[in-house]
Amino acid sequence: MRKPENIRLLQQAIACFDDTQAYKQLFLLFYPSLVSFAVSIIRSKEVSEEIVSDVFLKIWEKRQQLDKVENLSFYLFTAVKNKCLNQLQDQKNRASLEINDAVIEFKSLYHDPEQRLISAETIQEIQKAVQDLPPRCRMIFKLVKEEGFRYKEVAELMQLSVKTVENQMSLAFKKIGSAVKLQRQQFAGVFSKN
Amino acid sequence: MIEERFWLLLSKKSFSEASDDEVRELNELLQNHPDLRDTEEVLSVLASQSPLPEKNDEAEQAFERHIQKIKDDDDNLKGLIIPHNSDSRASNKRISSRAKQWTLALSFMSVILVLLLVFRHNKVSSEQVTKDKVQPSKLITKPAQKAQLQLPDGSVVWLNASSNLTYDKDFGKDLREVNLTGEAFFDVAKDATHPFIIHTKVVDIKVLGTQFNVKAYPNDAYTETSLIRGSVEVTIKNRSNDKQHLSPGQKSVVRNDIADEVASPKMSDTKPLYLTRALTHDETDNSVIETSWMQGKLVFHEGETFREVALKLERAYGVHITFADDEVAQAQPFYSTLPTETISQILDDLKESLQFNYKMTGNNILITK
Repeated sequence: MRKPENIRLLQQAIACFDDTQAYKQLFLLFYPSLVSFAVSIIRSKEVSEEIVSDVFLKIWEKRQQLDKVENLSFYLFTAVKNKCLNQLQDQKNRASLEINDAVIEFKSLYHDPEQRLISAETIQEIQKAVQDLPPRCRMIFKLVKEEGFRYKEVAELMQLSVKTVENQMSLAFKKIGSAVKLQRQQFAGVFSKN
Repeated sequence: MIEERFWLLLSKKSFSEASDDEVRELNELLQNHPDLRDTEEVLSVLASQSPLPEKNDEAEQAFERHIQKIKDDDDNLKGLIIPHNSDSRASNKRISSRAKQWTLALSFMSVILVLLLVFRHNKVSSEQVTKDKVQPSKLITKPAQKAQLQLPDGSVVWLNASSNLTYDKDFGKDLREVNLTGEAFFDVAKDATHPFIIHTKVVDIKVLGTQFNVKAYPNDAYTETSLIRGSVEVTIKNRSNDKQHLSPGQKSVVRNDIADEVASPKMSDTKPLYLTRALTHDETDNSVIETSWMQGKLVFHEGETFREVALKLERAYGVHITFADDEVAQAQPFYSTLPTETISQILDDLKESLQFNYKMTGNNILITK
């Protein structure tokens, strides 16, 4: 699991001892999310992979300073974003952060450590609702839910106000909540007819 | 409009973004609108973070490509390595042996993983033992093994070969106390209210939060504490007045026979019992020699005898070295730092500066004239 204390430990091992195995672990932990984040900005999977690899190359080159990075997760996403924007700038005259309607995949949307009873239909409904969210809203939801970022961090990363992040999260909850409610009502309806 | 407010509050609360007032407001809302409670229950599970997939082949393959790229980029890399304190290292040396380092590191880490698992397991089982039976947690490395461990307070310890680190269940209650035989590098988490103390055979080292190396092998002549960052206080056992305060870049060197001297203080020779010295640096790349074991380097000091060098070889390679000739054992080799090679390669190198022959039978090495 990507816990802050584990990441801290990996950072130290890389910074102090050139620990290549820790470097590999760090790469594997972040690579999929960073690539998917980059794809959502610049569309090209190939270029995204290149960018993420470049960011990790920098990490290795500057590894001796790595234990000074307070929030590595945020640092990595910011570095990827900046590289994406630079890339776009090379193509156009000026670049602004736009989240494209690429496939923003969720690793596992529904994780319930308390094992509450929720039907497969409800889960399906939730998944569908998430995929139907507008791209930017979906990315914000993913950054908060899967990457564990604070609203403030997402705001900085996506160049938005915290208020906007709040509203987008609220919108995501509303859409998902309504889908669940609708599904439950239909289910109840079927049930009462029989 | 109540519903809009509900979604905002619920989403904020789910990701710990809501203030106390907002949490209170949400609870009131739920009180007054029981129809919202059902949705709240289903959506609250969205908040918990999903576990990452155990294995990701695509990422593994991407890593292989990434490493290939680093290797191809070597020339580019040299100029970009940024020196860090006194610990800057020559990059050309490292790059030439990078492939070797990766394989070494891989095998090394697998050993650590096993050790950590064993250790965690022991720790868990020791916690299951009844309360009054205090069992210490213990990490032991064999010759040619190293291990990394995180202590309950978040401090990290790298343990060199043939070493032993223990602490009991009271660790962190008032003091953070560990016992060390052998060599370890400590990165101690800052916590001024719980001093961190390392007990070795001849010294006690008191720490507040810092990085340093302790070398306390019982069969060595000296116990050395080398400070990289922060500050430590080294007190000699049973001599509470004999204290050394170290600053970064300094090391404390204490004679291991000091314990005997206390019992019978005859001061047979004129060497000081303990002293404070500057850390030594590798002339070629300015790296700190005292901590170079962590990069797999084997360090010989100037004036060290072949017998002393043999002790280090025994720990690093898990071999047993016997001298048939005392003159050879007392001779002094030239080398200061050797890269990690096989034991026979090292012995062959040593033969260039010293006159001797050796015979290797399994893990036993006999050195003759």
